[in-house]
Amino acid sequence: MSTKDQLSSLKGGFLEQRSNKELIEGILFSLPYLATFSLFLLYPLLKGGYMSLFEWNPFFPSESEFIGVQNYARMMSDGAFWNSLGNTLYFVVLTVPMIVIFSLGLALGVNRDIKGRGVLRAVFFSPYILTVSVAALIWIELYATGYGPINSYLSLTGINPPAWLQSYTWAMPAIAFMTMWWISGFSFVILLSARQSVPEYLYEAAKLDGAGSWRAFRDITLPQMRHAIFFVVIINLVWSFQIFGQPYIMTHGGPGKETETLVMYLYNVAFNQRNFGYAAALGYVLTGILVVVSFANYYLFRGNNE
Amino acid sequence: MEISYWTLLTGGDGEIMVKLIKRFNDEQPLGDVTISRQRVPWDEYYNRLFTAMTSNEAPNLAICHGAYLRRFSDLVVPIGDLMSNTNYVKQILDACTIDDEIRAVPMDSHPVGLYYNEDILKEAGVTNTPFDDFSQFEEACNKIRDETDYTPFGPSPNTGVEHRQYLTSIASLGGKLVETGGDGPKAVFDQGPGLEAAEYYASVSGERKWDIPDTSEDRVNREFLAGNIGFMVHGTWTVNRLRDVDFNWNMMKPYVTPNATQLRTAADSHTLILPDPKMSDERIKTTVKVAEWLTQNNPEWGAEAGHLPAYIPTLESDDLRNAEIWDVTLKDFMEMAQNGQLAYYPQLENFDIYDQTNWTWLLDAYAHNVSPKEAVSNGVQTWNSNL
Repeated sequence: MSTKDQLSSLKGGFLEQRSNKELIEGILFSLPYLATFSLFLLYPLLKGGYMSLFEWNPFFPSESEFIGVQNYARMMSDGAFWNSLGNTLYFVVLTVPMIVIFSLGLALGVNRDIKGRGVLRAVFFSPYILTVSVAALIWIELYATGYGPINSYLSLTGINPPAWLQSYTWAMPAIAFMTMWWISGFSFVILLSARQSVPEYLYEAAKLDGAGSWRAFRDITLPQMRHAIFFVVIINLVWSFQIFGQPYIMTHGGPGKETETLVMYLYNVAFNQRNFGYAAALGYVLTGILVVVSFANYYLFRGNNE
Repeated sequence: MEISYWTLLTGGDGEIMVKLIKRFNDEQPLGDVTISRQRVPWDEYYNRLFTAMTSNEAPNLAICHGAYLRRFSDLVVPIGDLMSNTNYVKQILDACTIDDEIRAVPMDSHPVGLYYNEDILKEAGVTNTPFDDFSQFEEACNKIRDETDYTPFGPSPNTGVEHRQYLTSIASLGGKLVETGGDGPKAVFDQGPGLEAAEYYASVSGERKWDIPDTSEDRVNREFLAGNIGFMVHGTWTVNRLRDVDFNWNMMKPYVTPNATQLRTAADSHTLILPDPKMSDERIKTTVKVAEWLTQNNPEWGAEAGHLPAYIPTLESDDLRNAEIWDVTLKDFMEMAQNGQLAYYPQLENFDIYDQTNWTWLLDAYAHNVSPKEAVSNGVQTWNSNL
């Protein structure tokens, strides 16, 4: 049976409505992405799953020993894994709400008719274009205990400032705050765009009905922007669970192991201990967590929608 | 033939390496052989080398710290039989020998020493430099603390030098970081000399009041360069930054550990390895010759970059002995190398010893986040889970 016959025999309205030419064009247009996806995502994903079942020998892969699910079982009793997972969750809890609220505040503020609006947009977005190394180095200087500007200003107010990046209490919040400064620009742009898409007549109608600012925000702005907010929450959740560069550069996982996150631990297991099988298993668990969290968010927001 | 060569050197020694390679390519001492240099940032270097080696993309020649040789020894080409001579400082060459096979051509040793600001010492009334024991160092620090507004001593926390200071102290107390037994390597610094060294390290920023318990990155280095600290433990490479300071400085052997039973200083070596075992025999032979040239024709590696050359004729050359830096730093380092006083890091297969994540417990002790005993206990736990 030829391709044409196969296609023409397919049931369902979707394919039947399109000519073979369109279908072939569609496939051809998709090929570059599919090739890239297969090479850089699908293959590593499958290879990682395969490696996670082995005591992997990186120099001589053929000498790797199959150990089944032992790498996954090992996590249950691995204190460093649970510590890094706990640190990651703490970072997520600190960061995601901060970023969403901060970005939403900036977006709503800049959406108003104020002078210098264009400049402010550029300013708020600009940290996002920095690499993690540059952003981290800037904040290492800002947080420096003795000579950092933050502590200098706090000292002027009579506050005895903490050693931000050396303190068991403050190291993670300090990293979370730096992260908010660094990546909020992305969420800000998304939310600003969403806010600008909300029809103004809704606000005018609400105003005529006597609704105040808070009521308009609660009943018009938030519902109208919920898809953008959902996207911002999800993308920040994914990024936050994958945090690596900030603690790696700013604290090296310290003080103690207070800022060692899951990806940082994964990296250490792979490149410090050279245990690539276990690192691959850790990667799969992280992926599983992200999938679960993403679906949970999806259903949560869908529920609100309904 | 073009030899691909990876380095990780930046700053002063990076510039000297560039000059050295340019000289090689200009003079072409091995005939039609040139070097193609690629510099990889320090913090990415070993992972990129590792991934290159596991994916058959390794360069012909690469710099490798002696401490990392065992991590790469499975694939590094043994070269003992191909070297034209082994006239290198024995302790340094020994560090290149893994399982009785020479795996690298040693280029240098870069130990740490005790750098000091002569102007601060003068103001404090300290005139008996260089010191012969810890009590003189202790007295000088106390004088700086009591007689001046300067900070007496910083063992360079959070610069990557803190663990060199710690290793210096452990080795001076006769201890080790790791014991290698039948069950494999095991961290043992949570007791005896390891604990004593950590207690001393914490006391510098504690009861001795020689420094503050602040482990902000690079603080001591900056403060020393700004002329605010009397003594600093640092490596040979720091001379490149000290050339520009506006105070008088000098260096002496690091008698910085109380109750020391011997003088030791933490050291490592830049070595040259052949990380690609799939090279042809001809290319391997040529690459070894290139490595030998780079390590044997480099007086500027000592005179300008500040490292202690490993090749004995270079070490004894007039070029080096007449260099300005010889009397300031290299003479002391050479004496220590000849006396077997260099304390090398343990060579571990599954442990990245320079990764700062393995040393956060030491910064905890210095910052007084936890007691020294708890810090070393945390450190040993981390190390042993990795080892």
